[in-house]
Amino acid sequence: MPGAPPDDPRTLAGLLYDRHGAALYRYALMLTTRHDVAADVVHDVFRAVLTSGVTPEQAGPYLWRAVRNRAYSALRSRRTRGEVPLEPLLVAAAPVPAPDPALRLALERALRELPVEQREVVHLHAFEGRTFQEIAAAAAISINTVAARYRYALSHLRQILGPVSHADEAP
Amino acid sequence: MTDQELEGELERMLTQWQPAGPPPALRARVVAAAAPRRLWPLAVAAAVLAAVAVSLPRATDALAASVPAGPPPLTRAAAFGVVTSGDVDEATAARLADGVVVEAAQRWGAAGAAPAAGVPMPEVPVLGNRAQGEERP
Repeated sequence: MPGAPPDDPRTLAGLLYDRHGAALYRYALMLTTRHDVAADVVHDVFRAVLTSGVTPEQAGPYLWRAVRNRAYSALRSRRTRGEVPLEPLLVAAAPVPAPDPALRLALERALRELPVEQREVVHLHAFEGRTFQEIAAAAAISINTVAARYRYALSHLRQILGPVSHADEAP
Repeated sequence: MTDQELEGELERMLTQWQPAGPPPALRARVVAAAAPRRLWPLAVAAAVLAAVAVSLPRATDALAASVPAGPPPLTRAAAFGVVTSGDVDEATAARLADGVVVEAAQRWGAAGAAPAAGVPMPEVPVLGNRAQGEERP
């Protein structure tokens, strides 16, 4: 949306949130695996970007980078430690046909066990549809590193989900 | 099944799911945080500080004016009163009296006559100005 940003910061916040908020939240959730921390991360990032004076056009890359930095900071701090919340990490992409809830639980457990760098690559590639090149540029790492992380992540997920997924296929 | 086929199957399974979305309240929280900051509390605080800065010196001046003054300085008459009333110890009274006598003698000696009425009394030395070992008259 070219042109001057809205004068009212609340309008600008609503505009930016409607455009990026949900995806940023999912990204923060997959990095931190906690809804409360993800909400705090997104809230803090939006507050920071709204006081930084960036235009809505510039805000996209800034927001993604800021969410990544804050989520990793939250992981380094004690904010993400403690009991694992009961809220689901994943929801069905399409309500019909409804996927197996047992598979969701197993997949969530496997994703939580992944190192955050691998979980990040899985999220951005498998759920957000980013290419390895885009992920490498965003994370400032090489494409080979991104590909290796994705391969390791899938291998780990396969080890955990193997019995579940095959049981799903059983007659 | 090859590794590639297994990975493809796993990726297909992943696409059945997506990470959960944000709670509905998060949008309101983000928008509320973007509300312009209210400046009036800062203005009120600044006005209070200015009022205190202006009124504090006045208040201290008024307070100082309301405090009763201390005892008046010792006048000559009072000194004589002290000497003669016996409110001081003997040594102090003797020193005061000596000073009065010595200074009066000097004044009167210089004038060559006894002081006339209305001639101010000499200053009363507070501490004795006699030399060490000098005999008391």
